[in-house]
Order: sequence, then structure tokens, then C-alpha cells
Amino acid sequence: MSRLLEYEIEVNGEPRAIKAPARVTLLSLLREDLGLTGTKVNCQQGECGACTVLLDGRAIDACLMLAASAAGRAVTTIEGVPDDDEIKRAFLADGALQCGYCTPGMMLAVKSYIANAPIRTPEGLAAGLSGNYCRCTGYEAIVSAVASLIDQGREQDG
Amino acid sequence: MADSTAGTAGRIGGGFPTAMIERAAGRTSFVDDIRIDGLLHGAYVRLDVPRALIEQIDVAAARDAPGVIGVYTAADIRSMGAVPRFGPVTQDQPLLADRATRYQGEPVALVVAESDSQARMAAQLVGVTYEELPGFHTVEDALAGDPLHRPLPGEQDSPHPRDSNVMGEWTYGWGDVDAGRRESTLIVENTYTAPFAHHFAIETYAAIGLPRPDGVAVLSTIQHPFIEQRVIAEMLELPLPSVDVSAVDMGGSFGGKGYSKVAPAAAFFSRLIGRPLKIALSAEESFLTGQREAAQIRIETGFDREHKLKFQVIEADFLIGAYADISERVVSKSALFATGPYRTPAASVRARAIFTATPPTTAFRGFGAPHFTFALEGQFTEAAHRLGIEQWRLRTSNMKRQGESLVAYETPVDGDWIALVESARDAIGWDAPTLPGRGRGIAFGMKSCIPATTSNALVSLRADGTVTAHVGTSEMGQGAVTAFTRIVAEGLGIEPAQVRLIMGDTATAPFDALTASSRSLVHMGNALLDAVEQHKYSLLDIIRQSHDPVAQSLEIQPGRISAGSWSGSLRDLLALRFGLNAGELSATGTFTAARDERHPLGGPTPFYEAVATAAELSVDTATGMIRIHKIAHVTDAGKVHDRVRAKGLDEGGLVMGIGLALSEQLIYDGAHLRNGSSLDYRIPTLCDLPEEMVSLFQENGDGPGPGGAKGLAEGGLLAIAPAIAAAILDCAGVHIRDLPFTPERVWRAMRDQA
Amino acid sequence: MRSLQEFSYERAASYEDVDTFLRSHAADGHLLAGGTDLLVHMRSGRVSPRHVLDVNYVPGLDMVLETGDGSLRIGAAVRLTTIVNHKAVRTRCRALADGAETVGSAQIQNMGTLVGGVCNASPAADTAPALLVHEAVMNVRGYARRRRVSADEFFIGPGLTQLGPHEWVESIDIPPPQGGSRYVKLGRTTGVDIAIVGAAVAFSSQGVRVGLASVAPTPLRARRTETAMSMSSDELDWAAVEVAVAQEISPLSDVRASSEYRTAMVSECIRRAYAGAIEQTGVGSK
Repeated sequence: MSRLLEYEIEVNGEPRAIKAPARVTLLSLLREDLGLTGTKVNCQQGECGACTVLLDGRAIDACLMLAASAAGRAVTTIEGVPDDDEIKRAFLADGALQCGYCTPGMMLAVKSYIANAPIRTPEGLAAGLSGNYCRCTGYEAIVSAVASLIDQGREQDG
Repeated sequence: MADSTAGTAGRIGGGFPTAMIERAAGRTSFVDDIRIDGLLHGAYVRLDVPRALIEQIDVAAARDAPGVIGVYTAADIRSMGAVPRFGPVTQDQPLLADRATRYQGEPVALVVAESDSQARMAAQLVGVTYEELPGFHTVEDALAGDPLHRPLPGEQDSPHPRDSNVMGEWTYGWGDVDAGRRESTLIVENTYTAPFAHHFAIETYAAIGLPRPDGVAVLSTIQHPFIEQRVIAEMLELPLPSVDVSAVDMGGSFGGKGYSKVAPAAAFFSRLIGRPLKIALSAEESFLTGQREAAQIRIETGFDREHKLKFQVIEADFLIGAYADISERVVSKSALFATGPYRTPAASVRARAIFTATPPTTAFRGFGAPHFTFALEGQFTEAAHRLGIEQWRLRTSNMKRQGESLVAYETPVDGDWIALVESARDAIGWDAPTLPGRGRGIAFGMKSCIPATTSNALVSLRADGTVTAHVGTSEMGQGAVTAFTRIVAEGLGIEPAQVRLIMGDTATAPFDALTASSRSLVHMGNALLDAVEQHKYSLLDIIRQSHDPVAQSLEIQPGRISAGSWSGSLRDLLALRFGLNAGELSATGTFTAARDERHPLGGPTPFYEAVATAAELSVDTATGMIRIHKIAHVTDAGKVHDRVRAKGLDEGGLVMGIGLALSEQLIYDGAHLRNGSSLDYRIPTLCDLPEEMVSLFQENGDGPGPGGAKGLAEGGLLAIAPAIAAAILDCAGVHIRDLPFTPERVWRAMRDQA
Repeated sequence: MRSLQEFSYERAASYEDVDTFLRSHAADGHLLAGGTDLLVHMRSGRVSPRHVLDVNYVPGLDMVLETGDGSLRIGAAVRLTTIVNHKAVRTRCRALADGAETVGSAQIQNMGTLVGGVCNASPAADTAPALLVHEAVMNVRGYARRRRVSADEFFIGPGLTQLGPHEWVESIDIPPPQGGSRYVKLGRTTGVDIAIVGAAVAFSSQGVRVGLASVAPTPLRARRTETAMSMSSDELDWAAVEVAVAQEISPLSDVRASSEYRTAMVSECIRRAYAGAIEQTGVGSK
């Protein structure tokens, strides 16, 4: 029987008490223990981005993080993004999703980019989303959906 | 099963279908998201060698591992000397490898446990003793090698040839090829190759089996629930109604989830154990489960001094992996159109499907047409180059016109394909001089739709004035739910939110042949229209019977139905007949495409999917890396109802095609897969897009679908590779005939030429 | 892909905690920083630690500081994203920012650490060439001693470093810059990919320094190439440079590229990194 660690993670604004073995990844914790299946599984190698969540507002791959390592931190999943968030409207309006499997990860990666990039450019957006695979849309509709959400050339001190 | 729920879709606003809102919110349940009390999890044991003669399987340690319910091998499931097998055409694929594995990763045992991680950990404890056998993955080695399906001692008889690896061969031709050779002043002869490739849907394969007293229910990542129903029923020797298959919304498929992969095992073992069982594959396992055929096509094309095509000799060898799946059909169907849209006085075509000791190939978007198109268009590209005439002109001057026959007993050319090429030519700006260092290419592509199939749609008018439609179509992101909702809503004058679509469930939907071949908008769309028409007739009849006997015709407006002196809502009209909330109307609409016994495929195609793609690119001469500046793509769509959806399907196909053209290849080394993971198999990311992509539609209303629509969904993939090859030739002077055009391949080609 | 095996997890609260952990668990323990390499290796079965120590929460470990002698000191828990965007890094050792940016996606950069990637010691490590050309120094410590190891001597084989079983890298020092630097990487496509080859070029007061990825069992300081590049008086004799490069590299053929292509591309990457480094300083080294 594996030893259970006890800790707390804030998930979508709510503190959650966790009891799980050390080997549980954040991805597995979210999907299996917390029943939040919006975050998806594919490569489990940090390549495809289907498991992207926000850790303190920054995009990470939940498959590569031990859940215990996220103790005391704030995690945001797609379930924490309200339906009236402008990202959802932009994606739907431009056809930026088809099967929807990559969409939760893609949206959170977009949010992370918009919130954290010191300067926003089309090249920077492409780089910022290069870790999110989509096989359905060909990305064009995603680019146009996000373009409407980005201010070109806004600078912050780095 | 996709389910667009009636009710307010207004939380986001903008009138989006509820199903799409749910998808954007991450609330859509895919198979791996489904939670069932007491669900068990299965994990396969696989060997890391291409072929192995199994000597012993030691399951003791695995059986004792935490959470394990059971460990199963072929010995546990043999019945009268035979391991259960399945397959859509031939029942050839064993649930677990019997005496030997025929491809790397073929399952040899199944571990079932209370959790997925327990099953996988226990699977690592299963010890297999085996003798490695030689594997093969090329045409030469397959033709020379050990017949893969010769039964080994103790194995049951195989339905496949035992003395060679050629599964099937198709030949046909017409005219006098030798005369054509004599009359040709230019003969281009080349061999074109395409490697094995992977669909790489972001969702992997998964299925849940739910045992029932008389059979089993299956929740599956499957495009064709009715075919899977038949496949599982055949394997279990049960009548069809004892097997329910529900096609759960898929996270992409592209043909890979068309035919049964893990559902037969989920069904079989859940019944054996008596508990619900899920088998969900990892990404690496998916690489070993379904692939696109590799092909080698030798083609000889002759033109006379007027640049008219005189003859074609085409010899195509497709490598189909270790089991049949649907690959035989992929080869025979696409081979029929090997000579494409061009007037060809003489032709000789031979196509073969050859077994290799690699994972079974299956349907892949394009269904063999991209392979033949790559070769055929490559010939025109090279000929135009050598003759010094425009690429597009050599094509249009040889192309058949609308109404001209293509092959015997087949639908003639059903669109203005010459205009398609000209549109792509104009959209890329062909007449403007190319910037220095850039090249342009253009290519045409076409494929036929699967013939002689049937779709049925059950449409029920509910007592509250809403409508439920049960259709067997599955949703994999192609937007069927949106398209069908609109057809029903517009047909009956109600809001999309008032339409509920229940999709892909054999238990509730009437028979639908399959969701593939870009057929559903035409076939199921027409079936829905048929049901709507039947309802309109019934509704008019109600008014005549109950209110106005001389009412002539039914008029449908948004929210209002009228005929003669009666006018009201759908709910009012039903109450007129049955009383308030006391009755409903149901109608099953049908669309069946024509059958013809004389046709080699069983009937003529209901429509063609035809496209022209043009590319403009530059080549980094130091590294061989290609930078695509512009793609212009035109689809002969007939009629586009939902432009966002249609554009999305084309763009998705084009970018997938760019991946297959520039970077995607499964690399085998003695039939051992070397790059079966996302790290090593490179699909396009957002960084790999062309600078500009233009996707246009030719809408002449000349299709058989609603409003004159034709199917579209595969077009993006048909002509992109030869268009890029042509642009590379134009830019760098090298004609590359082997996919993919990696930087290293381009660099070598340029270096070898210099 | 395997499931993760059982192991214990603890968080280090101090540098000493890390020393103590490695004293007890040198053979069966592993440090966890970003996890972007460790979790992949645990799933593939390459490593199977029984004990994992999380170093992400040690106060001070995630800092970028300037030391007394003007070096830039980068702590073991500093993320690649921080390095990509850090003003001092971009100004003083641009090749390092370049390398960090090409390691992987935004997600990988947000999680992965410079030190973690360096200790993973892949021959393809994108940040290593920059460390070589800037003559970075690893601050190594263990329960018994502290020492400084030059980047040059740090990598000893594929996945192997000079670190003893009880040792770890607490920070990396980048000496004050003497000129500009850039890192150029070639992948199979324009997007994220493991390097086919990568080249960093830096200018110092003595001349040019060249560091290479994916051409040898370890990241390589290409000294023969540097000599060839400093032989020319005016224009660089690139033909001579190519000869020198070919002599000191030994690239493999793998699923990404053949050794022949790699060899040809190294010179091209050096050429581009050289041009970039000139632009970065505004002056050449001559």
C-alpha cells in the first residue's frame, strides 16, 4: 500500500484537500481524483499540450508535474473559465474548434500568453502556442480568433 | 454519442449550437472521460520486436499485483482451437496474438485491474519468452519474404493467401498502350513513394464494454457504429440487436477510428469477466494500432507533340501492414481512378495490396487517392517542366469536361474541373511574376465517394413543438451536428435550440452505412430532408382532416405553419390531431445511392470531391528547409451551407497535408518502428503555417446533396503534396518524388543535381 | 510508456536539506526541479528513483543575481521563461536566452529550469552551447564540499556529468561578457523540435568562441573551429572553417537526420550565429 501524502491545492479558486500517493501527476489528480475531465490526455511527454493548465496563471503541462509539487499553488483548468469569457466567444465565432479535444489546453495557453507575454506579436503567439497540437482546424481559425483578443505591440518592462 | 440538447444555448450568445458550447467548455464527454461505477481497466502486454514466435507467457507476478482482476492470453480465450478474430471485411485479426505476433506491438496479453495505472504497472510484470522472427516493411522484402499469414503449427487456418504476401491484385486497362508509346514524343517515367504515416488524432483509441445478459453494449471511439456492431456481433456469434454500439464524440479521427480497433476486446472481455471494462490506449500504442498505407507507384506517361496525353502505365504497390482491416478497399477503390480526370486513350493499371510485418493500416483521409494523385500530378508537373509549358495549361488542355465519362459504369465528371484549376491559378496570382527565389506549383485532385450506401434518419415531432432526430452519423469534429441541426430547423421553421440530435447509437438510430468518405452531408442530409418532407405531408394531412379539407399546400415560416385557413405553431398542429401533449409524429427518411452490379465497387459514386491546390514557396538552399508563402485552394463544393465549417475542414486538411508533405513519416528499421511518439513524429504546429492560406469554393449547385451540395472534408489532403513538389521543382529545379520533403531530402536532391 | 512506480516525495526547505538528501539517497534518489526531463525518464523507465526531493521551494534558489566579480548567477530553480525574458541575460549572454527559447514550448519553458536541463546533459541540450561559449562555471555542492566546475569540463558523456553521487549544481555563473553572442538551431521544421544541430557563437577579447549541440556525445566547445576562424585576417575563410568543423565533430545518424546532413548544417548554423553575434554587439571581434 503506498503512503498517502496530504496537502492542499487551490483549483479554480477553491481550496481542495488532497490525499494521494506521490506518484500521482497533476493531470491524473485533476481527472481521476477531482473529476475534472476537461483537461485531456495524449502524449504524456510535454509535447502536445492537451493537458495544459495554468499554474499561478502560467501555462504548464499537467502530465509532467507531480501533483504534490503543486501543493500550495493555484491551478486553473478549463472548468474554471466562465462561459461568458471572451475567449470562448472568439473561438466559437471563428470556428477555432472542431472536435474540441485540444481546445481546453489551447484556450488556457492563449490566456497564459496574453497575460504573460511582455510584448505580443504574431510570431510570439505562434511560439506561445507551439506546444499545443491541433489536428482538426489547421490553426488558421485559432489565429484569427486570438488576433481579436491581442493588442499588437503592447510593451511591458521585462 | 453526440447530443445537442434542446434548451437555452444563450449563455454565450451568438446563437451557437449547444453541442459546440459544451465542446468549448471542455464539458463534452469523450470515451476516456466517462465514469462508470465498478469500471475495470485493461492494459495490453506488447512486445518490442516486429515479429515473435511466442514460447511462453508468465503471468504469475502480474496476477498477484495490486488491483489485478485477471491476466488473459490466447490460451485463455481459445475455443475449439481458435482465438476469436475480427475484421470489417475479413475476420483475420485475433483479439490476442495466437502463436506468434505479426507486427511490433501486437497485443499478446491483456491485464485487467481496478485502475488504469494498476493495469499498466502489472502489465510490466508479465514475462514473455519468444523467438524473434524476421520482420519486413518494404515492397521488396515483403515480396521475397516469408508469407505472413501462413499458419504456424497449432494456428487456425488463415483467410489470407498462405504462399505470398500479396493480399490482392487489381488490373484493368483499355486501348493500345504500345501504340500510345509509339505516338508519344515525350515519355516521363518515374517512381513515387510515400511512407507509412499516422493519423495522430489528439484523442487516442478507447472503448468501454458493458456486458448485458443477452449481449453487450459498447461505448467506442468509432466512426461507423453500425459496422462495428456487425463486426462485434460476428465475432461473438450474436444477432445484431444483442450488440449496441454507441459512437461517442471523438477527438479527431481522420479515418483512423473508422474500423474496429479496441472495441472488440472491450466487448469480449467485459462479457468474460462480467463487469464494465475500459481499454484506453496511450499515444505510443495508438501509433502501433492504425496507420496510413505506404505506397510505391511506378508510372509511365506519354505525351504527343501537341502535348496531348497518349497513354499511362501505372503500377502501384501499397503496403498494408499485418492485417486486412479495410486496406483492400483503399487500394481497389482508389486504383479505379489512377488515371485521374485526364483524357487517356490507352492505359494499363495494376495495383496490389501487400502485407508487411507492421501495424495494420486502415482508412486515412483521402482513402488512397492522395497516393495516386501524388504520382499522376507529379508526371504532369515534370512533363510541363520538360515541355516548357505552363503547369496548369498541360492539365486543363487534357482534362475531361463536365459530363464526360471517366470509367465504365461510373458517374461521369460531375463538375467544372477546368474552372477549378483556373480558379486556383488565379487565386495564387499565377500571372504575376514570381519574386526571386520563389517557385509556384499547381495540382488537381479528386476522389470518389463510397457508392451504393444507405442513410436513414428518424425525425420525431415532439408534443411540445421541439424535434428529436436520431441519426447513425458520428461526430468527430467535422461538424455534422451543426449541419444536421440546421437542416431540420430550417425545414420545420423552428430554432436550432429546439432541435435535439442524438447521434451514432445503434440502439436508437435507424441504419446508417458509415460516417466517412465525406458522404454524410449528402446522404444523411438528404435522409433528414426526406423525413422533413414526409412530416410536411403528414402535417398538411392533419390540417385537411381536422380543419380545412381544401387546404392546398403547407407553408413553413419561422415559428409558424399554415395551410388554407389554418395557421399556428408546430405544437398547436400536433394538438389539433392528438390533443394537448398527447401525441407525437415520427418519420424515417431515407437516402440510398444507386447500386449497379456491373460496377467493380458496387455502384457509381454519388459525387466526386474535386479540388485544385496551388502553392508558392521558397527553398533555403543552405538547409533545404521549405518556407511556404501562400497556398490557394479551391473546392468544387456544389453548395456551401456553413462557410466557417467548410473553410475549417479545408484548412485542417491542407495543414495536415503540409505535415504529410514536409515532415511526417513513420521510420522503420527492419520493421521496427523507430519514431512512434510525438517527440519523434513531427506533425504541424502553429509555427508551421504558410504565411497566407486562401480557401475558396466553387458553388455551381450541381451536387446531389441539400441545395446542390457535394461532400467535402478530404479535399485539403488530395493535391497539396504534388502542388508543393511542383513548386519545389519550379524554385530549385529538383523534382522530388519521395515523401516527405524533409529539409535533408531537399538538400540532398539539390546537391545531387549540382 | 510505463506507469510511474512508487516513490517517496519530500520538499527541500533549504540548501542543506538537499545536501542531506543526496547523502542518504545518492543511489536511489533524484532531485525534482521542473520535471520536464525527470517525469519523461521515469515513464520510459530510464530512471526509477525510490525517493524524490522537490527543490522548487528552496528560498533563494530561483534568483538571478549579479555577483561581486560581475558574473550573472542563475539559481537552480530559475525557469527557462525567466531566462528568455531577463534583461540582463538578453543583454549580456543573448545566446543563452536564444537557447532557452528553443528548448521547447511555452509550457516547457514555464516549468523547465536551466540547471535541470544542463544536468540532464543531453548532447542536444540547447542551453549548453551558450554556457560553453560564455565559459560559464557550475557552482557544485555536496554535503562534504563545494567546488566550481567549468562548463567545458562538466559534460562527460550522453546524459552524464562530472557530478559525484552526492553532488548537485546550486547555480551557474556567467562571467561578465566580452562581446555579443547568439545561438542558432536547426530543427526539422520551423516550430519546436529537438535540435538537428545547434551552434552558439560568442565574441571575447581573444576572438571567437563556438559551442555546438547534437554533434558529439556531449555539447562541444569547438576549439579547432575557433582556431580556423581566428586565422583569417579580414574575411572569414568559411571553407577552412568547414574543414575544421568536420574534423572535430562526430554526429550520429538518427530518426531526425543523417550524420552527413548534420555535418553540412553545422557550418551553416555557425555562419548564422556568427552573423547574429556581430549584430548583437555591433562590432566584430577583429
